[in-house]
Amino acid sequence: MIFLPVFIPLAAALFCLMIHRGVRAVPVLSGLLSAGVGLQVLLTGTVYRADLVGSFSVGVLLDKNAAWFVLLNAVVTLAAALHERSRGRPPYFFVLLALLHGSLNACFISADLLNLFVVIELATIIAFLLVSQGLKTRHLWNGLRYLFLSNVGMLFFLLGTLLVYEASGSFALAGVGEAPPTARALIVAGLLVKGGVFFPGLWLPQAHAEAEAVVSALLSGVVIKIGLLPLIRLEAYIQDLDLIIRCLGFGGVFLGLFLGFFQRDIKRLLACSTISQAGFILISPEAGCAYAFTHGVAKAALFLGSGSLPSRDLRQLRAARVDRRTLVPMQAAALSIAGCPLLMGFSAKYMVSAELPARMGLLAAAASVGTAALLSPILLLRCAPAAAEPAWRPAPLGLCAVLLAGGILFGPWGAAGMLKAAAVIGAGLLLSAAGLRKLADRPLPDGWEKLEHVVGMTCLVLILITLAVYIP
Amino acid sequence: MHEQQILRALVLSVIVIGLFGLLFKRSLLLRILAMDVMSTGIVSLFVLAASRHGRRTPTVSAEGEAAYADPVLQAVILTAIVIGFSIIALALLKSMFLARRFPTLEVDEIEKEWREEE
Repeated sequence: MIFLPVFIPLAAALFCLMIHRGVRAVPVLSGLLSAGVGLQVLLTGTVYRADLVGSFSVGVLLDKNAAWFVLLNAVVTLAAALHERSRGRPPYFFVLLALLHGSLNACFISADLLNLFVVIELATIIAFLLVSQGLKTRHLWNGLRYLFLSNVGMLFFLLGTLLVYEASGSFALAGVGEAPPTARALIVAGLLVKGGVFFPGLWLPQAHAEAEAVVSALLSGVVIKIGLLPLIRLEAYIQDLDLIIRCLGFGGVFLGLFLGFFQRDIKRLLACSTISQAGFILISPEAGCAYAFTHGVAKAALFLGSGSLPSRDLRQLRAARVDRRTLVPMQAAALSIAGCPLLMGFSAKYMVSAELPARMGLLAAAASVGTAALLSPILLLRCAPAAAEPAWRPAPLGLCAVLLAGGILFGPWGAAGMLKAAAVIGAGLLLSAAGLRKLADRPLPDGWEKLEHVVGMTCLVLILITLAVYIP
Repeated sequence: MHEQQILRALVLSVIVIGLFGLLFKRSLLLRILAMDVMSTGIVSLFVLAASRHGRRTPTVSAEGEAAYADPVLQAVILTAIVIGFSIIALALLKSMFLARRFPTLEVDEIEKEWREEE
């Protein structure tokens, strides 16, 4: 049962590739399969677990936390596959999509350092192929940057794995607690790079903005989550890492917001919002998985929609009107990220704030206001009546339906929570109108996104985490 | 033990040298090679750690049990070598495509001009 969502997509994709037929159906079918498995685990609460006999804690685990991510993977893959089928994409894309789907599922069910290393690298390679398949300079260069950064991160992770094995004799995630501080710092830093959190995540705006719309949706929606789930698990297992990861999460939230206010390009704005939301996922380990699900679905809808926009420049978009059928799903998804009642983002935000201590709750509320302000340029775009050309693609609307269903299912229906959420969004819009919006007119100084700076920043954060782990 | 520590320090310095190459080399090709140096350093560190308690293969033999090398670490690193190899191969392949437009593969030049369509 636990291996089905991994092996079926991989095997089916390779088999269909060999017989040259049916490739387009594979991502859809495997998405449905994963959705079934994810829902079953979420609804019944069963925990599937399989360990290698006589192993060094090498094994897989499918619990509720992992099931949220498997379900997210299923939903986003389905949307991406249907979206591209309607565009008549060549079959190569669908093979990669099915392979990515399988390897991402493998990442979400791996529960030890060794498996994680192997499957994260596998997913990275497939994501790299997806980014750079265009063979234009921008795709090639951004793909290479992505590969560089994640490889450096995973080399740190591998070094950490060695130190953990030497100290505890196993590859269990729980064994990270017994390892020397350097090992913990190395592992956390490696995962931060993959998850796009805080300074190690600075590669993300360019990579996600320059990829094709559907690839950005996959990257921002699911691929960054392969670094976040292990971090959430580490938070649960190891007490003293918990505080450090939460602080890094808050750092990521505000860094993403800060960068986002200076962006004029809608895709870069969305990518900066991804950095900020990735931080948000880490600040509460219990509610983080549900939050990751809502963020992934909403962000995928936004990126898929951004592919149908006439321009990427927010100013031009504001001057010209945007087709209603493209804009409405995007605005609904943006509202969900901002935490508007009736949408699932509201339920997830509520769950996060319910379990945070008071002081952190205040910070989180400030971050929510910032998120609403960041997304307000999208919320304030104006509709134009539907045009005949280009053809309408319903996939983003389907994603919004998922968000709406989740919001209605999870509530909460209390008036206080709803008023608070409305106040947060209103405050965000006011703040944006009061002047934050003007920041977009002065671009940040160039050059901070250079490859060596991003790698250097990652090394600095590694040193910082090492210090933070040593001091207590 | 002393010998082990010296070797370990050497291998760690290889990793740091690789990292510095990744940060400071101007050419994309050399950066890819620096990445390979870094991963070679980590591979050597694994091999070194595996041979800490002995160097024999862990098979049953007439001589009885002797101190043997840790097979788990060697299995792990074998996987990591394969992954590292495929990543380097892919990076080189894609940089061949990039080299059509930027024959010198200078990173600064690429960073400046990649936005302009060819």
